[in-house]
Amino acid sequence: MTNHYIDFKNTDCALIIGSNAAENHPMSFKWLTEAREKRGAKIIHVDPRYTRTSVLSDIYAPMRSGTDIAFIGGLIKYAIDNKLYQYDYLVNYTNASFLVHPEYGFSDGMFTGYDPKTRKYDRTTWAYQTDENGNYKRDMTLQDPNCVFQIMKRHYDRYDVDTVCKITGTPKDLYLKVAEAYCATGAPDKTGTILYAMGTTQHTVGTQNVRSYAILQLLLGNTGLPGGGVNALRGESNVQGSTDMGLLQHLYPGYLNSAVATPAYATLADYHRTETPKSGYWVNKPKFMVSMLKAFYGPNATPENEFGYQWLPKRDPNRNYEHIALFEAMYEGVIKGLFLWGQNPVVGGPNSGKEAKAMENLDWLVVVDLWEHESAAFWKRPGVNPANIKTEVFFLPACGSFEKEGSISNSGRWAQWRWQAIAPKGDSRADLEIIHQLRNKIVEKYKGSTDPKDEPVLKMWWDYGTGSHPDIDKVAKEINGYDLTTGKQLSSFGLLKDDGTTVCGVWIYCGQYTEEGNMLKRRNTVDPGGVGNYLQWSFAWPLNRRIIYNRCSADPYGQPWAEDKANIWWDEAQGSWVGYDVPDFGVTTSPFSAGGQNAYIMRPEGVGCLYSACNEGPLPEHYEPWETPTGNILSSVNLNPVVKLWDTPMNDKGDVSRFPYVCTTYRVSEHWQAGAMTRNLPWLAEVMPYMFAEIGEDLAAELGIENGQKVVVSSARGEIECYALVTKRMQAMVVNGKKVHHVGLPWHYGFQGIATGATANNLTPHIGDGNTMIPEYKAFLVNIRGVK
Amino acid sequence: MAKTMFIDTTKCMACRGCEVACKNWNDLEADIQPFNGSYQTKEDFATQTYTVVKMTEVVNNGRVDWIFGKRQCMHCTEAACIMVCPKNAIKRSPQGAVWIDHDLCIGCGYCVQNCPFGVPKLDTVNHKSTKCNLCVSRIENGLTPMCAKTCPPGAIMFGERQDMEVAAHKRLAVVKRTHPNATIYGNEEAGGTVLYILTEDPSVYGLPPHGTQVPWQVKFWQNFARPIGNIALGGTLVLLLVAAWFNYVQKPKEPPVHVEGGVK
Amino acid sequence: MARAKEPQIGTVKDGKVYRFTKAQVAAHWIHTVTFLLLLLTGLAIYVPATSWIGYLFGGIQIARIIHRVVALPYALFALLILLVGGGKPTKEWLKVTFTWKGEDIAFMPKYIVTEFMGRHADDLPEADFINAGEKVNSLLTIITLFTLSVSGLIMWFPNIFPSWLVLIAYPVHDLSWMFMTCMLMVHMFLSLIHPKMRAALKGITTGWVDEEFAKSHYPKWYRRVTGKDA
Repeated sequence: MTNHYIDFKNTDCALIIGSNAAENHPMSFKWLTEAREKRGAKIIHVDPRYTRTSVLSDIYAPMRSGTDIAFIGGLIKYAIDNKLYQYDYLVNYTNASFLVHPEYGFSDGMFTGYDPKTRKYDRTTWAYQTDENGNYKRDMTLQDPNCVFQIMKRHYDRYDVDTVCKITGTPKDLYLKVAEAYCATGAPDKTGTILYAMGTTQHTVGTQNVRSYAILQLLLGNTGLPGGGVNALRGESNVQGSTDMGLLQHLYPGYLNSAVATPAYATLADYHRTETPKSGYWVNKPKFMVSMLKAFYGPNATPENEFGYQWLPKRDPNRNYEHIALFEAMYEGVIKGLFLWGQNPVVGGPNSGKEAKAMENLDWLVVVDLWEHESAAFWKRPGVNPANIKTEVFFLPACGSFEKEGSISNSGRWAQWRWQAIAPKGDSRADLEIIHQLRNKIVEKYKGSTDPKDEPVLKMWWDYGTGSHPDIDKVAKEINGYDLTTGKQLSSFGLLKDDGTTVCGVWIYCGQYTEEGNMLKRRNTVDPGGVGNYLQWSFAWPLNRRIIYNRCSADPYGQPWAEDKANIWWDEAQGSWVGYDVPDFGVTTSPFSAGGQNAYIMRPEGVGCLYSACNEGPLPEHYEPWETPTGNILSSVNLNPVVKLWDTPMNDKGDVSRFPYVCTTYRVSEHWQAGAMTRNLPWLAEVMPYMFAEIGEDLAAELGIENGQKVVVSSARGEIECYALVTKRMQAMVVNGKKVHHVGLPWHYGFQGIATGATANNLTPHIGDGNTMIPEYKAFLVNIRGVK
Repeated sequence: MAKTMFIDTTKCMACRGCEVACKNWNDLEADIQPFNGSYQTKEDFATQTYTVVKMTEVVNNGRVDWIFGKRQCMHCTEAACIMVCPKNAIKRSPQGAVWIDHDLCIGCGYCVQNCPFGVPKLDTVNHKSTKCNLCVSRIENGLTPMCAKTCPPGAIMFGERQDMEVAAHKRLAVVKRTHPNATIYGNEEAGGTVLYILTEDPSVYGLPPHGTQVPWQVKFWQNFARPIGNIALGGTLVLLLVAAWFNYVQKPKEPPVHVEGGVK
Repeated sequence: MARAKEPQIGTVKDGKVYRFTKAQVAAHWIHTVTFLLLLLTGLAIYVPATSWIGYLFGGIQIARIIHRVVALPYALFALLILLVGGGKPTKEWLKVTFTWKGEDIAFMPKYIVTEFMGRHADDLPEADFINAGEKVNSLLTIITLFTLSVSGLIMWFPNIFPSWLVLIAYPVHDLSWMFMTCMLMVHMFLSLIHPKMRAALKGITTGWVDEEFAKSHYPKWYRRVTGKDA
């Protein structure tokens, strides 16, 4: 999140889209309720289903799954047409004024530069115009036809309310209600917050969905202020921590890109050259990278050996390492061994039937988890003969979060320490301990080897004590980083160096464990201004900034846009920024100095980007999901033109003639993810024991299905049987003149545990977002029939 | 000293945290029911279920709504269950919690049948009646009931009777702006230990109508029939003692002998 | 139906008159035993001061079971015996129980302040088969048999009856046992403690009563069934 949970109480209008916040992030409603009560804030919920979130919302607008870009595009046009954007913010803090390459173009759903053979764009025509000194050319009046603002205006001109409502299936009166309520937050003294989750990201256009929220928020001047921001409600309690620590395949810790086996990354100097921009705070990347290498390889990392850069594995540029790709490779027999660490793809993976089948090709499988879940038991799942499966399966029991010590980073980037309440049961162990012991065993095997290929293992620096469980303070201290010349913990990543004299495992967490101690353990409830930032409660990265881009909370002169929306402001006498937060800006950089308006310090442009290049373009454009009941009425391009297509076995595409209904998968309050944690607990099994398909009364009547009856839901990938839950809360939407029904499936269920049921993901496809390849779990086609 | 639990149903999101927290604190067992076509997987109170979030879909002015209401014991200030319990096993704490002392309860089921809110349930195996006890051991030690403690949006509030009354009326004024038919329920009906803000008719929440109190049959039974019967029994005993005295202590005179008739 | 060997009501022999049939005697004692068991177990269940009675039965839960088990013969057996084995004497008993004349109503207050208290009453109205006091006993016994049985059944299976009816069952059951117990106390006093009525006990155990007792207490009945003059 750019903001944080408690900050929701400061909002004037919350737009919950692609999220079922009340059900899946219930604590968000503690703060939204306060916002409504204390400030009269409005809550808007946009969703294919009327859920427990809709109950607590002031406005509920139905929206066909997969049409966020159209929905938000319409709001963008509404804001522009009605001049509801925050003009001063737009001009000063965004790239609205930046001039774009004169050859930039967009027509019939495509930007200039597309190569249909590679399904990739050449971004040359998307570049900014620069002068002879390399400075960006800008038109501060926002009139130049090549400026971003005008380009954007033209781009979203097609997203008029009637067209948008045709695509999304939203009744026009409701859509206008949403537009009026939300775009009112463009006023300088009002802020709106956008809460989103997997309903946004798990689409072939997931990245562009988020981009559209960012654009809207920048337009309305909502980012960087209390009660504003683009706020991802993360899907797991510590997924924020996991991505921070670099567990995504293309990253190192702290969101540094990982090296690829190409000439651009051949040496550390090449890496620096390729990765480091000319402006913005990322110019300091080399300091983060080298400090990280020092953490990895310790004294073994020297200037002479490029700090061990050559020991880092490099990604094959021709391979894809995302989840879908891994299981496709497993299916082909290419990947022979698998660690499933707190992962249950047989329930949670897309096209889970294929993924389970793929696992049968493994020579070995190691599962680290609290329960023997469906993936651990894949070899004895219903319909399979264990005698035919050769995989050797190891199960390492892990203990739960109350049985171990460590930190969890929430969606708001707050890393809060957790203490061990009880000892682990039986021989279950903390993940930290397991990885520690595994590493020790592996190193033992490699001991004494002189093969250079083995150096990455042997040169690893692992200074975490001699016990069976690593010294967690040492881990936390290393993540924070320290100065090798003084031996002291560092207090800021601003002190990191690229000469090998500083160590820092994860640069964004620098500040979490200083000479004063472990900041994550702090529980002080002091709250200056009452805005809820609680600067002395744990630590938030970066540098304990609670609202990032908070330079934007002050106008170009350094004063808050409104007293009610104050976060930081410039104190001329002190010559520094002061206020209720840590400035996300040079503390002593005067607003009147050069760069005093560059609120977005991480961007090379120094401003927030309405126009920003991703794989499918610099501006979000509506495309239909891979499986769609209708054509794209905005252009002749049905599917996101850059997504990878997996034309492989067990991944057929369904057509609307055989599968007429739009299916979306989701979670419920009562269960957690792939279900091992909750379907094994009696009290939670009791509150939601059965798998069901949620359908509207109108669809049920059409098909003669009664509430509580057994039904079969089918897609081009498979079939499942479950109960029908017939409800008033879902109704057909009119899309492009046609009636479109949704079918809803919770995806928590599998064959293990107390509460068992069919797995919804047997129906989802292997296809993912154009940038991240996150699977399109949220919009695909199914059919449904009753069974006696 | 009197406390009140104020349940603002307009803030509830039916997360069921209260249901689970209650089972946790009271060490109750899970009792999985067959599929019933609803998110509300527990139809009613049960021996192992002291609280249920009722979830009802309604249509108001053509718009769908989903009405949530946490059902539990009302902890009536004039409690039918206390009145009818033959073992005086149901007690009221100083804070207002009505709780069943399982050391005294014999599972006769009178409370089950006479509660106007249908709350207590009979455990026919252990011969005990069970229901929400307002976490009496917690509130007697200055803590809040578990459901109130766990509720994320703060829909369940707990505090001094007066403070909760004020809060309820304030909230009602706000809710009435969007729900003109909203009411407070629990004052007239149960004396105010548990107060609700309702936006729909009580029947939608499974509650008996506004103004429901101790059933007239119970009042007749406890306030009229029993005293009359006790007086009759006592009176008869006295009469017999007097008669015995007259018959044996005060010797009767010998009756005259009659010539005719059968009197000796 | 009367057995061939059983004497007729009114038969005089050895200074005794045959007053009650075997069926009536059996019904009386079945009723007595079942009612007393029900009363005791009921007191154990219902009245805190008499909870200790539960221990006599092996615990409160056993007392509860006995209460229900004994309720069945209480409700049915005595009734059955009288209806099946009662014949004409039972019909007469019912007729006289439900026939109330002026003299019956006059009987009550006069009797209570005189004979009941050990004094003699000169002008007590003549009784037929049973006197007014005994009519009250019979009436209450029959009425409460029904009210206790029906209300008890409703209390035992509340789920099959409408709620309002279940709620009425409790006070009905309560009032019934309390008033019947009052009656029982008076009945036991008269039959076991009161000097004058001890003779009646022989009747309800053997069926025969002393002729003199019959003549003096139930003159109308005596004249009718023996044909002799009182």
